[in-house]
Amino acid sequence: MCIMLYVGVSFWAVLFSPEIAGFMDSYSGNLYVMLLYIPVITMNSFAKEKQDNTDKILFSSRSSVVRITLAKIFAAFIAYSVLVLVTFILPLVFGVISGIYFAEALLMLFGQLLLGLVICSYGIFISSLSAHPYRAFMVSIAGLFIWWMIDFIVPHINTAGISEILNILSVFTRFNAFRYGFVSIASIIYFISMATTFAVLTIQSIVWWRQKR
Amino acid sequence: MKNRLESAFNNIFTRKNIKSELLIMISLVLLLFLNSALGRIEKEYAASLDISRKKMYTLSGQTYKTIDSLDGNIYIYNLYLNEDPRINEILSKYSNASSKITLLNITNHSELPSGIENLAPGNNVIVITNEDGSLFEIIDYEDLYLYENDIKTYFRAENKLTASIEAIDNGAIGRVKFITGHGETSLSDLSELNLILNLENYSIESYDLSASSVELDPLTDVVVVIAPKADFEESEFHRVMNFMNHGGRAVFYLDRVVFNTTKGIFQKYTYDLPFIRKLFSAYGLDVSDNVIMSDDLDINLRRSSIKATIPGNTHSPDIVVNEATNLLLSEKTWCDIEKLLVSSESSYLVNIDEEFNGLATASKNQYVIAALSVKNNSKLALISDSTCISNECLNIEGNEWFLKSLMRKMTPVKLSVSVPIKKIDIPEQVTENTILSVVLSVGYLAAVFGIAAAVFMTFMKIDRRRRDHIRK
Repeated sequence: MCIMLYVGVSFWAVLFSPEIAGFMDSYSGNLYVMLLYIPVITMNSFAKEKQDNTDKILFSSRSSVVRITLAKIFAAFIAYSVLVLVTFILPLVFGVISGIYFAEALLMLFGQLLLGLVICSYGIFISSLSAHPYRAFMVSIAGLFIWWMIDFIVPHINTAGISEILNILSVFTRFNAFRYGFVSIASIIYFISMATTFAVLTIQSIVWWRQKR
Repeated sequence: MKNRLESAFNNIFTRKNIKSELLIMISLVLLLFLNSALGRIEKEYAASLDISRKKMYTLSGQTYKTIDSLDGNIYIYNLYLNEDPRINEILSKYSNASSKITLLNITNHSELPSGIENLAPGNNVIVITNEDGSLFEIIDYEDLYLYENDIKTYFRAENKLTASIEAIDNGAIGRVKFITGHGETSLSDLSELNLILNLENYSIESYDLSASSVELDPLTDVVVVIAPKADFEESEFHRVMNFMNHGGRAVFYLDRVVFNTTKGIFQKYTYDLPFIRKLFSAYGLDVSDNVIMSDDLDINLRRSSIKATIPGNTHSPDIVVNEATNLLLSEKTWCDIEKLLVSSESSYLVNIDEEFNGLATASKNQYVIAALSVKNNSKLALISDSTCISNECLNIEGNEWFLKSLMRKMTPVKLSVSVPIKKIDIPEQVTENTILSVVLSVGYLAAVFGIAAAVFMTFMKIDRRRRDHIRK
C-alpha cells in the first residue's frame, strides 16, 4: 500500500510539472522501489515455516518439493504482479490525457514483470536458507542492493574476466532494453534462466535442510 | 506424461548424491554462460526488435545507401564508462549493416588509436576513424541528443553518425573554426548558432590564431570571425592570408555601430582594424560607419532593425538585421563580388557622428549589408551585423535560413546526407487543469485502496484456509 502511494505521489509530482517528459523514466525508476516489496512478500515463505515448524507438515503433504517451491515463487510473483498492474494505471492515464506510445509502455510492463519474477525467485531462495524471516528480509535487501551496485562497479573494473562474470550476473542492465523500446530476446531468456536457476537452488536448499533435520 | 515429467524432475532435483549435485551445478553454470553467449550473438547480429514509435533503432534508407557505398573501412570506437543502451543499440545496427564498419566497445582511452587517445574528452565518446586513423571524428554522447527543458527530447544518433561516416569516407570533414583572442563574441553566448551548425553536421571548434599549433586547412576549414573588438597581430594576419591564398574560406561578422539599450542611443566602435581591413581590401570589400535605417523608423525610440533581402531572390524569407552599416564594394575586377543581403530601396544611410542631422536630406537607396567575394578558389564573406546570428535573431526563420545557405556556400566540403532526427516518445505537456488533477488523484487513490483492500482480504482468506487445513 505504501509503495502504491509512493508511486502515486511521484506520479502526482510529475503530472503537472514541466518535467512531464521524464514520466517514463520516472515510472521505470519506481520499479526499484517496487522491487523492495518483494523481500517483504518472500521473507515469510520458507523461513516462517521453519520458524513455526510448519515445514514438517508442509513437506509431509503429497506435493513434491518442486511443486511447493514453484507454488511459492508464483504466489510471490502474483502478489508483485498485482502491485505492478495497479501502478500501470498511471501510464494508462497518461495515454488518455497526454499521449504515450502503448507498445513501449507495455514492453516496460513486461520487463518489470520478468525482472520481478527473477527477484521473487531470488527472495524465495534466500528465505529457504534461513529460519528467521527478518534475517531473510535483511539478506534479500542487502543482496538486491549489491546486485544493483554491480551495474555501477562493472565500468570501473579493468580485469576482463571479472568484468565478464559481473556482466553475466547483472540483472538490471538487461532491463534497460525494455525501458528504451527494443525487444531483446536474449534478455527475456536471461530473466527466465535466472528465475529457473534460483528455483533450482531453492529446491536444493530445501532438500539439504530436510536431510539435515 | 505429466506425472512422468514431474517424477523425472523430482529424481534430478531432490535426490542427494554427488553425481546429481554436480550435474545441477554444471547445468546452472552452463546456463549462465549460454546466456552470456546469446547476449553477444544478439548484439553481434543486431537481432533485437525495435518497437519504438519513431523506429529509433532502425537505420533509414539514406544510411543504408551511405553504408553500401563506402570505399574504405570505418572503425567506430565506443568509449564509455556509463552505458547508454540507446547508443549501444544503434551502434550495433551500424556494425551489423556492413562488413566495412567495425565496432569496438572500449572502456579505456588507451585503447584508442595513437594520436587520438589524448584528444577524446570525457568518458562517454564515440570516435569514428578511417583505416589508418588519419581522419577521425570525435562525438560526445551528449551531442547525440537534443534537449528541451533539460530533457532529452530528440535522438539524433543516426543523423550524426551517418554524416560522420560519410565525411570520413569522402576524405574530408567540414570544420567551422571560430577565431578567438580579439574580443570576438563567445561561442558559449551563441548556443542557437552552435546548434544549427551542429545539426548541419559541421565540426565546430574554437581556434586561437596566435597560439594554435595546428594549421588551418583550406580543404576542410571555414574560418568565422564574429564581432572582433581588436585587430589581428601581424603574424595572425599572415597566417590568415596564407590560408586564404591557398583557397581558404572566411566569414566576418563585423559590427561598427551598436545600440545601447540601457541609454537608448547608438554608439560607434572607434577602434581601427587595419589588418582586418587589409584582408577585406584584398577581396575588394570594406565596411563603412554609416548605419542603414528603414524609412519608417523613429530613430529616437527604436534601434535600426531592418528587413534585409537577397537580391534577385523573391522567395527567400525575411532576414532581420540590426544596426547594419553599408558595405563598400570595389569596382576592380580581380575578385568576383556577389551581393548577399541588401536593404529595401527606401532605406536611409545615416552617419551617427553627425547625430542624424542629415537625415532629413538623406536620399533613399538600396544598401549592401552582406557580400561574398571570390578570388581564385578562396572566398571571403562580410556581413556588417553580428546580431543577426544572436540566439534571439536565429529564432527568425529567415535568419536561420540565411546562415545555413551562407555556410553551405562557404564550406569546401560536400555536405553529408541529412538523416532526419527522431523524437523520443515522451508525453506532451498537460495543460494545468485543477479539476482534472483532482479527479485523477482521487480516482488513483480510490483504485489503489480498493485493489489493495481486495488483495489483502483475498490473501488473508487463503492463509486462513491454509492454516485450517494444516490444523485439520
